[in-house]
Amino acid sequence: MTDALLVSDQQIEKGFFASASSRLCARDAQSLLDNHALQAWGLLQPCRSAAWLDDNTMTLQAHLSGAPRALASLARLRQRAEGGRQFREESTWLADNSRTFSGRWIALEGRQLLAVGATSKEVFSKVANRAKPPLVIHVADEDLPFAGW
Amino acid sequence: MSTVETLTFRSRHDYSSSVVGIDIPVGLKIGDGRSVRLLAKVDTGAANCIFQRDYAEQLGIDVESGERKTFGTAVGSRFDAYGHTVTLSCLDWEFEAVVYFAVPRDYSRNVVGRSGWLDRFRLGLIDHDLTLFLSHYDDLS
Repeated sequence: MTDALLVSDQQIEKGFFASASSRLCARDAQSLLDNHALQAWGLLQPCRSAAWLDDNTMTLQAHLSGAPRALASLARLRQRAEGGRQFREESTWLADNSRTFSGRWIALEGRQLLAVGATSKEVFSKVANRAKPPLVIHVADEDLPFAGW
Repeated sequence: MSTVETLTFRSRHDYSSSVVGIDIPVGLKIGDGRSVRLLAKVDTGAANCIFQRDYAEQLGIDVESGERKTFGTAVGSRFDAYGHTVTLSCLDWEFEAVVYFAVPRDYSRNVVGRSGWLDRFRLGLIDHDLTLFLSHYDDLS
């Protein structure tokens, strides 16, 4: 899972970089991100006068007011990346090892096999104390091609 | 005259070629209580989302207390399942949906189908690349 719309998120008009009165448009904000130069905003605008900058450059306060939203976006991205990494690890593990556990229930977290049992109840009880629920699945006896519904 | 349609998606999910079907990670939760994590197959031919009853039992759901529905299969057989409202999470999204838990214990296939899943999203699929693209219907296009 990757972040296909990160750019679109950041391009939302009046996004976390722009206050209602600011002329800092979404395209400018994207440009800033592309250049990793948020702190050098003034230096990136050589063609604009000092007066224009005085009038229109966003204040530090305006930037900071968008911080909670930016941090929330960052947290979502991290969570998304972590979920994607975990799924890839579990898929790889299953591709390599699932035949060994045909007909059994297993609990998996990333590459780590946490529990194996004959019933789901047995496996769920073994992983009941974990803070985050692991992947719990029944490994098919014979994974024949499926005809669909 | 030909036209070109362009779609954009929020998430991209790479699935495995080594398993049968297209698996996606799914979470089910009841209120603020217990939750389970499983793999479900994307099935555009399924009318609803249907899961093994083991997951309902782990969530503390009394399966037979829900809305009963009989499903037909490709070979003409039937099975009963019961609908319950759960919080379903999938990739970047979490939402409430009515999903069904199969009555037969030997029901072995978890699927996300049209009602409760596909009707919430815009879906793009390039099986040649093993890639699934997904956006919530209300996301910016």
